[in-house]
Amino acid sequence: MLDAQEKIVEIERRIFAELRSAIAAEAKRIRQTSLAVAEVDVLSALAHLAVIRDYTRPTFSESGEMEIREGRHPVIECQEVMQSAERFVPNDLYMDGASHTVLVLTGPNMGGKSTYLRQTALIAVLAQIGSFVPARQARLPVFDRIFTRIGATDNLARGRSTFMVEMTETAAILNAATPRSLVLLDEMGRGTATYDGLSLAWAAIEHIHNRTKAKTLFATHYHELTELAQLLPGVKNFHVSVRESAGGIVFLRKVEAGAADRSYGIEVAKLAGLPQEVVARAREVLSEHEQAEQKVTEHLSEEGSASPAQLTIFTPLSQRVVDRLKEADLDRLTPLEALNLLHELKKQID
Amino acid sequence: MHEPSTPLMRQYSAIKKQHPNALLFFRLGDFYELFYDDAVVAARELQITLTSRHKEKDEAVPMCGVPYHAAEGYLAKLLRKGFKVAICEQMEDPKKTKTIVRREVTRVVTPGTALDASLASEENNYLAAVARAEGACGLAVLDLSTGEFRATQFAGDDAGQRVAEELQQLRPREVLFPSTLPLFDRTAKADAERPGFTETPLEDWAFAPDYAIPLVENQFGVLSLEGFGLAGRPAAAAAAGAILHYVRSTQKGELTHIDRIGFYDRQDCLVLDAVTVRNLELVEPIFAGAGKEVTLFAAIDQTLTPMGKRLLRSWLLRPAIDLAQIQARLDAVEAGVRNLMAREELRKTLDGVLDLERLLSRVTLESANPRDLLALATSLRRLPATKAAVARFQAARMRELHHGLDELADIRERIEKTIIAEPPISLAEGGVIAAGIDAELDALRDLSRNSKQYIAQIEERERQRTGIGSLKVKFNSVFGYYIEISKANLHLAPADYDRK
Repeated sequence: MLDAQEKIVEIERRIFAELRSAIAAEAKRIRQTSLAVAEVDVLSALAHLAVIRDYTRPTFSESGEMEIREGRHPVIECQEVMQSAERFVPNDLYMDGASHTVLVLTGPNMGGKSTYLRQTALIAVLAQIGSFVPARQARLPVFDRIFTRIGATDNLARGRSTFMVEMTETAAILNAATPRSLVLLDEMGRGTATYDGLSLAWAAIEHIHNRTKAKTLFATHYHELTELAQLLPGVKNFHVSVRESAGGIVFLRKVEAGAADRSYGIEVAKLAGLPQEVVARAREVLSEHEQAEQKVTEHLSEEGSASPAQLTIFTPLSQRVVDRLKEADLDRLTPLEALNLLHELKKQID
Repeated sequence: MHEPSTPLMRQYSAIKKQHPNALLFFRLGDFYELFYDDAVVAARELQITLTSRHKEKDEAVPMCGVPYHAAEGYLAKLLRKGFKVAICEQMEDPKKTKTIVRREVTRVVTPGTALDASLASEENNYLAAVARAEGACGLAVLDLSTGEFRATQFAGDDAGQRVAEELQQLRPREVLFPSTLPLFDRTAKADAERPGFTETPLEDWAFAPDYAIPLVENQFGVLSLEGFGLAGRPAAAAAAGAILHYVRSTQKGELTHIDRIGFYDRQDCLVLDAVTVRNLELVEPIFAGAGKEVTLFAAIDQTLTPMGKRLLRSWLLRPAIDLAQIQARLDAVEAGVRNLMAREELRKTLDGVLDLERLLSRVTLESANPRDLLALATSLRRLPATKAAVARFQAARMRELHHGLDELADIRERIEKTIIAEPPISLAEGGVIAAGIDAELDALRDLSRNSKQYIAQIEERERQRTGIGSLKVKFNSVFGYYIEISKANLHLAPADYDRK
């Protein structure tokens, strides 16, 4: 009887193995059906998505023009709806291969520059997988490559300097981009001393405009770069708008034509909670330096200007403070003396 | 390792010698045991207790074990950490042999060939191979759990660099390469996004086109690889052959679900390099700590089946560049947008379709259990409704898909007829196959059922006859069936009982 049990198991195993083989023999049919079901699933899912999120069908341009009306960021617009009462602020975009090839985007951080860049790329990706897109209307070229260079994500832990990483990636972009490519550069030049970074950014934009001709969105904190729009016909300035009120500033997150008229770094610092005195003092220092900045911009605009000017961000005012600090022998100072020194330096500045 | 002194440990050593680079799961009764260094590693990685076996020449042998029925979970953990595991089973019934039981390695599981259910459904589990031939550098990629198989090759000075980039984008779990050629030169490797794949060097000859190409032709049953775009692309074909060679040597089964290979060109799609994929957070967040909700994939994924998720994800990583193809998809999506009823109906039929690709691969690799087959049948049951729903869409692409959708009713019927409705997970105790399939089986079951009754009757009869209420009828392999009574009742035993 227990023999019977063993025999039963043996027979069952055999039958099961036969069944399994029979199914394995039909693998091709099953696989084909599986692939068809997968695609049916994706296409109907994209339709469902388009309906619940109010996406529209993109069209494609032979001429290479790109026009987006009221574009939105597909991920952020969802999160905002869920997290706060604020509606996502949609934005328009226009680029072509002629008068609007490189868009230089200025304005305060947190103002929406990065979002604008990313949503442009995401809309292009969605369009090219065959999905509807988050916009009132979208007409796009078919891109061959999308490049991005976003300063904030450099991995310092891997032991390469930010600047090196940045230059390597930028080189790759300048070498490989074509007129059918889309390039996003966010805060290029972050990783190094101000004038090196600025000069490199300037030269890169010139190169892209004159040679590479890829559609490029360049978000930057270098206000000087807005000068390029006067010099190169394909470069246009845009900025993220801000509204000033008595209490401070409000980010409108609307992208508008023209350069940002002020750098709002200080206002952002205030929003972040920096002490009142520091903010006020920073404004004073800023206006003293703005004249020096003006001179630098003039210098860069002059073509073929040979003299390597002594570029420094410090004026004689701060030089005195620096000298005084250099004199001080910190190892010998008592805490009280150190405090006194600090007091003296502060008086110098005030 | 000292020369082992017991037959068991000698058997272990012999087997271990054949698998020096894998952890050896050595079956001992209800456990898989690991010894020596393997045990130390396993105890650490799996957080299980390290003990030791009886002393071998004054040195205790480190050992640890996992229970047989819970092995899959431990296996998955080791695979995720990049280890290879050789599973060594007892090939004979220990009850039947007097000497040491025969053991054999029945399969070798590697990160690149994992099949288990803990694979994330929207991701692929890739095994890659890199080969060089005629100045080009070839790359082939296989997801054993779905059957997806692709190859490409690059020529020129930067071929090595481009292969590295491609590997960064594909993120395979395991990469095969010829043992005499380093995979990359070291500096390039240090820059790799995440070196998180297991490197598996293989013998050089496995990558030789003379060996590899016939292997690929054989797998697909073709005379030349032209139909797959691999003719004249020996590096790509060689890489593909190496993969098949490796999979065949580590897996059981016929691999029939790998029935095609596609040659792809980076130029066939909108190229997004690894940096861009990361910066745009298409499928992974930039900062490792953030959740997946920030990715584009998560924000737009409305698919209902695991295969659909994988397909959407791969479309995001390789968007189309052919305008006709894009428009065809948009037409299908538009048809879905305009027709609410048809769309909802279709989605309802998809809800509940399980992972056909992965179930199929479990079948062909002989690791499917009865419940897997039933799961397959259950999913197939929805297909007629799905097919009918697809027919309601006018778009050309949908019509093509409708055509390619085989309802597979014959397969479903056969499964449902053969396996009972709620089978156990394993065949070890029987009770899986339905009645009416096999005459001998049915007869034996009757006998078995009746026998149990018969034994019970005998027991009852003897109890009555002898007056011993605690009398039992039992079985062992020495005497067969016998009657058991306690010592106290000995004097009541009738004359016709033989004492043993």
